[in-house]
This record gives sequence, structure tokens and C-alpha cells, in this order.
Amino acid sequence: MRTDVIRRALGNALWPFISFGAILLAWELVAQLGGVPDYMLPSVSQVVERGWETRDLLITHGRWTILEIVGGFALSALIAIPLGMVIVTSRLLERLLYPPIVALNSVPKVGLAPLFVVWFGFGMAPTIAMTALVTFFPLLVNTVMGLRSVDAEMIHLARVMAATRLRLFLKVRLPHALPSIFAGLKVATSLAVIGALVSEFIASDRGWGYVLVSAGGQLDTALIFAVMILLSAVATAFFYLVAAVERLVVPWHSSQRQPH
Amino acid sequence: MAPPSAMAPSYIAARDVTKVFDVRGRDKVHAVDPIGLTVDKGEFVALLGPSGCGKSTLLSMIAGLTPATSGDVVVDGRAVTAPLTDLGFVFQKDLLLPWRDVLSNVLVQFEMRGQRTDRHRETALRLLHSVGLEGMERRLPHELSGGMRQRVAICRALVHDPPLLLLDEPLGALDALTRDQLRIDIQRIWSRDRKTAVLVTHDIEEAVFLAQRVIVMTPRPGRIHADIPIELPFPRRLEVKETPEFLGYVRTIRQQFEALGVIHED
Repeated sequence: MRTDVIRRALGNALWPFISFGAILLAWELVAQLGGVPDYMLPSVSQVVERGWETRDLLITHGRWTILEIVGGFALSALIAIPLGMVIVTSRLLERLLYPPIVALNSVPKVGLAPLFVVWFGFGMAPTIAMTALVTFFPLLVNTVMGLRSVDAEMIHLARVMAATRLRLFLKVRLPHALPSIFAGLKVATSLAVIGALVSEFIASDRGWGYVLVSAGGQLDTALIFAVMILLSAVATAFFYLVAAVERLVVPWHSSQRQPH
Repeated sequence: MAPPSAMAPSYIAARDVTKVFDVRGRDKVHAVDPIGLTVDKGEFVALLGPSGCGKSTLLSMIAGLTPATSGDVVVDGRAVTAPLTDLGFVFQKDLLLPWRDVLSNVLVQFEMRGQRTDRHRETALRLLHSVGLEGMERRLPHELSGGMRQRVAICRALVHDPPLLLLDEPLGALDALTRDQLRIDIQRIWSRDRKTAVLVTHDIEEAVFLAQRVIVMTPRPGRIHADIPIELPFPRRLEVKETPEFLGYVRTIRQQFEALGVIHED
């Protein structure tokens, strides 16, 4: 049975492996034989080589960026999820807080990066603030939606079971909202990477965002590609990390069930 | 049709109860027009009517979940002003918590009340076994069929041994065969415990099969059109449905609905 599982996992990994391989091969061929200058499109081998040469730089700046991504994400989750819980506790709070928050969401948030430099200075603080800001709304909205989506009859049932509001919240509303909250967290992972990167473009002299800007200035395209590949890998890993936690926390939800 | 006497020692007494829903920007919706209804202790009564006739609203008012616009409801000698908690309620949806296994979904009845569950495990298991769910205690709801899930919901409504059972179209979402089985289960449980039970349904056969008294309601605004005692002996087996007496009741009630314009042939 175990070998069966391993074989199936390998089988699942095989197809994306083939498609990724084909893409890399096509890229290499176009770059080598297509007559495109290296500074426009470096070959895969050049990107790998450049990445290896600059590995110390990439690791140092990568640590910084990952710290900002995770820090901003965590800060946002620690504020947005409890705030969502507070908002659904009372109609008044909901009417008071929800409309302005939704209105603020329409602000193109990355445009605030220069303002954050003025407010928080240069370096990690404005980037964490930006990362938290861009991930805030999906987390809040998903928390509110999840908590609100409890069946009206379920509330009736809880009332005839003499449930207090606290027990209703802990035993029904919160577990019911977890799949929605995790959906928000998963969306937030990729937004967090974007937020951190944009902020580093203008508000930092450290991090992969800064490396990208300086590499661009020197037409070091191979380095740009190397950083982008690393960033994608980090974003993907972050997403699957959250998805793995979700599987542990809400194994009962239909999205987590293995197809038979 | 006549309003019940205020002196009647009924377990449930609804006096001139009305419900008007205020839909913003539209006319008021009269869901329930003045209704007088009494249910004796230990009696099984069915509220039968077409969809939207206010029968569920009436049940909800009896439970104290929906305040009446006027009139009053008395249950067990006390005016209902807040949700009653000494009852079992079964809805059309099973409302099982998908993250809890079967046993834990039954014991949630005590958890919600802030009571310890360990001393009630035996009762819960016994109930589950009595409806054919032995061996299912550790299953999650999504692993169960619709009929099994609804049986768990019925156990949850009974596990704290309440004197009153309210059933709001509990079999409405099930297929015909499962529905027959659950009717038998419900009848067996009622015959054993003789709890006061009010069933809301739009199924004539179901009402006649289960109830001692069928209250026929008019389309919205809901009023009581007829109050028909079903004098079929208990326990009733499925074969009873083929007897002339059973068919007579079904015909009488169908004629009532035809007279009300709920059913018409062409």
C-alpha cells in the first residue's frame, strides 16, 4: 500500500516535471539559437550560472525579504482575523467599521509606498507595513464572510440548546469559518510577496526587490531572472505551507478530502 | 376552528397568534393570521399545509425563536417570551457539525448547555444504536447517507430527554424509501416515550401516518382550516397505508386542499 502511495505521488509529479522541462528547454533554445541578445533574454544556463556566482548576495538579501514577507503576513493576520471576529459580533460595529474598510480597499495600495517611507523611514518597517496592508483586506473579508455564513437554522438550533454567544462562537461559528479564513490566508501569501517586493523597490537598500532594481540598472538580466525564479519558489513554498497547515486544521472540509 | 378554551390544561396553547413580516419597501406579509392551537401533553400533532403557509413560522413561535406579532403562546403553563430550551428541534437540514463525528454531534446538545458530556455518552450510544447507527459513532457526517445524518440529528434532539419534540419538515430532503424508514423510526421513538410532538409537513401521508391529529392549514396567510383526529391504532406499520381507513383520511384531507384551491386537477 505504501509503495502504491509513493508510485502515485511520483506519477503526479511526473507530468508537471515534463511540462516544466519543456518550457526550460524551449527557453534555452530560443535564447541560444533565436538571435536574441543576452541582455534581453539570457539562457537558462546563464541564469543558473549568474545565480550561483551571486549566491551569497542572494541568500543575504533573500533572508531579509522572506523575513519581511512572513512578518507582514503575520502582522496582518493578527490584526485582520480578530478584527473580523469583532465586526461580526454586532450589527452596529459592522455598520460602523465595514463600509470605511471596504472603501479603503479601493485605494491602490502600492501607490502608498512613498508615503510609507515618509512615515516609517527606510528599510524593513515600511515594507512590513506595505505587506500587511496588501494582505489585510482578503484576510478580513474572508474572516467576516466565513463567520457570517453560518446557517440561520443552525443559530436557531444553538439557541434552543441554550448556547451562550461565546459557545456559539467557539463551537459553531469559528470552526465553520476556518475554511474561508484559510482561503484568505492562501490568497494573502502571493499578495504578501508582491507587497514586499514593491516596497523594496523604493523603500529599501536591502532585499530581493532592491537587488532587482540595481540589476535592472546594470542590464544584469540573468540576475533578474535568477531572483524572479527564487521569488516564485518562495511564494509557492509559502502557499503550500499554509495549505499544509489547513489540511491539519480543517481535515473535515470538502476541499481537503481525497478523491475516491 | 373555534378558539380553544383558556381553561384547557393543554401542554401547548397558542391564542390568537399572528405573525406579520415587515418587508421593507413592500406591503406587510401576513405569514400567520390569528391562530388558536392547543396540543395536549404526550400528543403527536401534525401541522399540514402548502409551502409558505406559515406552519414553520408557527412552530418557530411555539419554540420562542420567532416572536409573535400579537397573541400569546403558553407552553407547559408558562408564557413563551424567549427561546425554549427544554425541547428537541429537528430541521429539514440535519445541521450536523462537519468537523465532529457522529457521537460528538449528538453530545453537542450538552456541550452547548455547558454541561459535561461523559455521563451522557451511554445515553447517546443507546439512542444511536436504537436507530441502527451502531458502528457509526466515529464516522464524520460526510461519510454518512442523508438518512443516516438525519437520524443523528434526531438523536441529538432526544438525547437530553426533553418533554417536547418539534419537527420542521425533518424528512423533506430525503428520498422516498429513506423517508418511510425514518417515519417508522420516529413513530417507534414517539410510541416508546410519548413525548409531546409537533410535526410540520406538506406531505399528507406523512401527517396521517405519524400524527394523532392533523391540523390542515390554509395557504398564506396561514389559518387553521380543519382539525382532523386520526383514529388509527398504534403502532402503525407501513401496511396501514393500504387500509381503507388510512386512504379515507388521505382523501378527506386532499379534498380539503382542493376546496382551498391548493390542489386543482386542471
